[in-house]
Amino acid sequence: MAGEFPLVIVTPSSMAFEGEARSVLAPGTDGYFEVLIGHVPMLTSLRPGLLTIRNDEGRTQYTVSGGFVEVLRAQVTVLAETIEEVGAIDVERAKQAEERARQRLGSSEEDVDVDRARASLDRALNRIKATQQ
Amino acid sequence: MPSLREIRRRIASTKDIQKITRAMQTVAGVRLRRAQSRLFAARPYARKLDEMMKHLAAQTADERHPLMTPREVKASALIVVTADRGFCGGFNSNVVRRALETVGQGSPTPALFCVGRKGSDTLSRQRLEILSRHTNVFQALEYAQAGEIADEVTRLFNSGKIDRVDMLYNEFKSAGQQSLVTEQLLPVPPMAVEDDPGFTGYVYEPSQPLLLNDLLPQHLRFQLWRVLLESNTAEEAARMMAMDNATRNASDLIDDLTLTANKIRQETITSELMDIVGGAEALK
Repeated sequence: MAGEFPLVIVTPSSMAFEGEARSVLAPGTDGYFEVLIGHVPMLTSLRPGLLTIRNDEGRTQYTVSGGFVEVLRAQVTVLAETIEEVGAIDVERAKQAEERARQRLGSSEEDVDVDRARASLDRALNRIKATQQ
Repeated sequence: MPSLREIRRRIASTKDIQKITRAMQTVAGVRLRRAQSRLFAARPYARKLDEMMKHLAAQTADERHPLMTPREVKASALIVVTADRGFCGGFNSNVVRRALETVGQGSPTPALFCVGRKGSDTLSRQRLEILSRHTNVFQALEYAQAGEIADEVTRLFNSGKIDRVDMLYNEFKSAGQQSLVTEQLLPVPPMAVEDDPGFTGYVYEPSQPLLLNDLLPQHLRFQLWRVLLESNTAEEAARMMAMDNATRNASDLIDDLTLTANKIRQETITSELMDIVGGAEALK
């Protein structure tokens, strides 16, 4: 049962992870899902949340801000917009981002892009939540 | 004939300038390496995103997404990417010249979208329609900035204010070569669909159209990010070349001036000697 599969996590600015994994737990748009070896080929989008990788080295948690997961027979690829290991999150910065997003949402100016402000609020809350677990 | 002292002063000041250009060349070299590694770091993501787009586009070929559907072009936009700083040879002026040509020939005349302070400054002086300016982006280049620009353009496209968007930028070929490229951003050009023998089809979650809805904006953001990285790398390469040339020119100038200075010195000595000899003759 304990099969491993190659996993790659890429972001626009770096290769965040490249190695073997036993399982990947990811925040899909329709809910959290787990990928094990032999998963059916799948393409899905991610919403902000926690991504958990299990392999021989144990369990590593990351926050993702959204992206895509592609599961193929031979490989699993995560395309993340940004990804951070939970241990490396700067709580202060996340809180500032939350503050800014709330201000933007609260302001009455017309040119506020509500979708974007809400998305950045989501991301900030996601990172703050991750550190509190 | 300039005096000896004047020429020596010019030699000294040329040497000072040479020190500065040499320092700038070194700095540009360091920044070029950094920019290049970022450009390379973006490649795995580019490859993967491209693959996904192709797979998805192949499966949803009959119903086209609005961002991929060409429509009658009543208004278009041109994203002009220059540098924030000068001292990089023809880097900025080449882009501006091409931009002006494109604007002159385009029908309808494209509105401009300036990225980078240099191009923005120069083009502002012309009587052109400028939709938006993004300056000082390259000092601390981040993905979020590319995202902002892409989202802004996408909004204009979706609202029907613009029917087509092109990008004009310098592409990094090698440390010694950049080339100007014009590329269509919107509507997203149709992808060449190839048969991938290893590909067996996916389960899609959520549905394909919804996924494409997510994937396309991300694709656009990434395209801009790639263009900004290309331009940034090309800029540092151009600056390194320009500063190398300047340093070499300064060397040539110093050699010339030193030669002249030596000649003048020699002539002065000769004429003084003649005077002394002449004076001695006269005393006999």
